[in-house]
Amino acid sequence: MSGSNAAKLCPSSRCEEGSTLLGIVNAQGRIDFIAEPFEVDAGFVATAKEGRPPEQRFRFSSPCLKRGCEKWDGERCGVAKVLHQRGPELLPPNDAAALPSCSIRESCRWHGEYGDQICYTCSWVITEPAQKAAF
Amino acid sequence: MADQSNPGGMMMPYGVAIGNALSRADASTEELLALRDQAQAIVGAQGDLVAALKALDAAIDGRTPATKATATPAVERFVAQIEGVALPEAVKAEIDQAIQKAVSAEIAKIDTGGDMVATPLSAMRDFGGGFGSRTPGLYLVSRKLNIR
Repeated sequence: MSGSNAAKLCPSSRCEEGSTLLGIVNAQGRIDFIAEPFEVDAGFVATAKEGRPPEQRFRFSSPCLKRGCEKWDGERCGVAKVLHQRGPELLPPNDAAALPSCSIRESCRWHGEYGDQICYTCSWVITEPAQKAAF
Repeated sequence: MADQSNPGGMMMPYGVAIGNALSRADASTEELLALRDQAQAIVGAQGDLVAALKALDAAIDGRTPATKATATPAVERFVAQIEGVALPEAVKAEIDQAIQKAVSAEIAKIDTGGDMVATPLSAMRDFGGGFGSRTPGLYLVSRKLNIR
């Protein structure tokens, strides 16, 4: 799956015009995914940046940069790799849990590399955790 | 004459029938006796029904964990309605765009503070500042180096 040349989307990118708003960090620290693609415009970016960093409050998606990204390990996404390796240890698999209603699954870099299993872990990922978190 | 009813099937509202019979001066004793017998039969049958209902409740409660509902995404709709005026298509398109813009602006303000909550992934520190922290790739792409 990881060898596909089709354009893949990063599910944890920055708040920039043209990005897709994937979801909103809810009060429990999980992501409430938006089922349909929601493209972010300049107005959204400007408004979002008036508050705390948007990457702490939302999840965005944009094309995977591969070797242009510091998380690319040369062959695949390093973030997804760690999530895949440590996710089950931190988040016991829940076979009964439904997949999130994600708008990019078909083109998602992480899903393309690890399949449905990583979607459960993904729903806990916050792109930029708060520096003064309560943990 | 009282209406006939099958205690095991759909029942007539016997409270009304009995009330009507009692309010009529010409209601015969036989009619009142017949109503009483039928009402008693219905009450007796309902005793079984109550027990059955309780058993049904218990059985449903016992199955609840096994029949976990599929998560359904919440749906929010924002509708503006005007009656009596036919608006030009261009105006309708502008209104629609304005609604979309307003929704987008309000979403951009959302801050639940959920990133401050300890979660199972909080223990994962492999990426220092966090997942997908500032990527030089974005900077490079902005200079059209076509690295994708």
